[in-house]
Amino acid sequence: MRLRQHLLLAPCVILIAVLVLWPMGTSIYQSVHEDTPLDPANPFVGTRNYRFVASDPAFVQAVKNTSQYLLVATVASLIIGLAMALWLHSLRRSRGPALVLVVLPWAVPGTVVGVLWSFILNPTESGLLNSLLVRLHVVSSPVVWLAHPFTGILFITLSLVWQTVPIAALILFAGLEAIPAELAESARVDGAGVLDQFTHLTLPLLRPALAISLLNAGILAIGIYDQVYVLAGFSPDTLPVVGKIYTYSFRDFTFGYGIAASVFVTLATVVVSLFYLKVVYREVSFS
Amino acid sequence: MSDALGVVRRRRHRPSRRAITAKIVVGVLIGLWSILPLYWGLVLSVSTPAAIHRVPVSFVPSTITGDNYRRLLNGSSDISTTFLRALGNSSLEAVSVTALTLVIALPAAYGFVRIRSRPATVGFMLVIFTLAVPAYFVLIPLFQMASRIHQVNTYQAVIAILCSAAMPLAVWILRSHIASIPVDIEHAARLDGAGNLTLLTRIIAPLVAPGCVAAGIVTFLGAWGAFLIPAVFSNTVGTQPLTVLIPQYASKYAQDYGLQAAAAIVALIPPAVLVVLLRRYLLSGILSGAGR
Repeated sequence: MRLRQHLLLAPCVILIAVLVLWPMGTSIYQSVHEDTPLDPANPFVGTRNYRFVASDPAFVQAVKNTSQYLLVATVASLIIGLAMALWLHSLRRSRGPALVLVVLPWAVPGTVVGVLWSFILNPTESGLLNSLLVRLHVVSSPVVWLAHPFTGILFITLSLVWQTVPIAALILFAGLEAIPAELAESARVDGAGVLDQFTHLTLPLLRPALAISLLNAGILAIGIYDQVYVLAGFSPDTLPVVGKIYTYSFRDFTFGYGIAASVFVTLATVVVSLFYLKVVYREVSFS
Repeated sequence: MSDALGVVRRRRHRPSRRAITAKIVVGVLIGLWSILPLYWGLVLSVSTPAAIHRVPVSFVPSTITGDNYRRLLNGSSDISTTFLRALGNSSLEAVSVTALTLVIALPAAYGFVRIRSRPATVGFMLVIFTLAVPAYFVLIPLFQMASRIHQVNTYQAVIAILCSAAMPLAVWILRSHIASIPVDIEHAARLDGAGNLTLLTRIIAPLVAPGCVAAGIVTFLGAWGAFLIPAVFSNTVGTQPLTVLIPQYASKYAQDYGLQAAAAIVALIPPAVLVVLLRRYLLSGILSGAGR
């Protein structure tokens, strides 16, 4: 009977073991072995793959790019997500349609997001942004946004944030809804202004939700790839680390480098997660 | 006391004019941010090439044409057969992944809630732990595994891998729903002689239907929108989904923004419709696991 019960778990656990846990182990094993399709012997090479990747200027550049994606995405998700959450929270009626308005971009596939934003960022006067700015006389001729590293990273990040900020907004919205209304009311009775209330009451109580939404935005930003691929291809000025993993492995067929790079990036994800949880997260109870 | 609160409440229902203005301004800004990229894609998709390349562009289409959609969907040209094939592949892959994930995750989630044993606990921790494993970390070994057994560019490879990626979140969502079912209901069914299968399909599944919808929609959106995994595992015309085909248009039909836009709109309609129709369930799905 007990054994029969465990059969319920078998397909799920086996699937995860074969397609996630086993490859993870293989990944770590292979990162210290020579591994190209050209040499089937796979000799042990120690930390060579790691040392090569860490000193490869192209990878270092990709790490810089991803750090910038991470920074811009975190700040933008925080501002836009918080604005959306406060707006949803303030609505008394028609929350359903408002929710759809906020969530809709999240349904759009990443590469399609890239295509939609390519129409906005188009470097000719057919581009939405360029035609607007030319008409308003902000610029005299169309700008090639994605050719400058700064504007390139900025706008690619915005396209990522456009798609992913609904998650941050919903997490913060749920956090706001969980704050007991009596707290805000007693603060108001005590004469706290709107701004005081926000900085001294709402923000501290929102810390756990802020931490989780930042964590989520951070992980998504470190994994950015789809939008970059569509908007800028493999251009080194904007190529993120996941793009570099892809080119190591599936363009140059140097799987060992690709694996070493992916171990670095996964470790970075863990570090960033711990940072957010340690610095921002603090358990809040309403008793 | 109750009087004081009453006063406060009444004040809340009549916010100041400034607050209302702020609410409207923020609402319009959020609406523009969310809708503008979609609106502009829609405009381009129904515009003629002449209208698209006219300077200055007009923000409202002067003429509306179905030409771009017709070229993608009429089924007689090269563009169209490739596109329809990719549309079919996207649907097949996303629907199979969703169905398979639910069929595997539901009994597992039930087992993880009800079985109290060391192996079950360890299994649960392992499955949930993989929520934190990024796809690119296992991509290369999976590719080598698949090529060794000649499974690259097959439906089953993409479906199995996307399934394993969706599994932990689906188990997590379903588990929290199942945990809220009183055990007494199951005891009664067991006394009536119901086995595991009957119990799951007749009693548990209907009771956690909202959880299944939440897990299903999150899984479907993930599978429909996936790019990196299908780009590696189904990169040929036979098996590639829309997310892999559409980026190729930027170089293949470089100036043909109308065609690119129409393809983008077709690709986002199924997930968008799903989100609008099932938004009630989506909220719990997103909040329990965020984005992956």
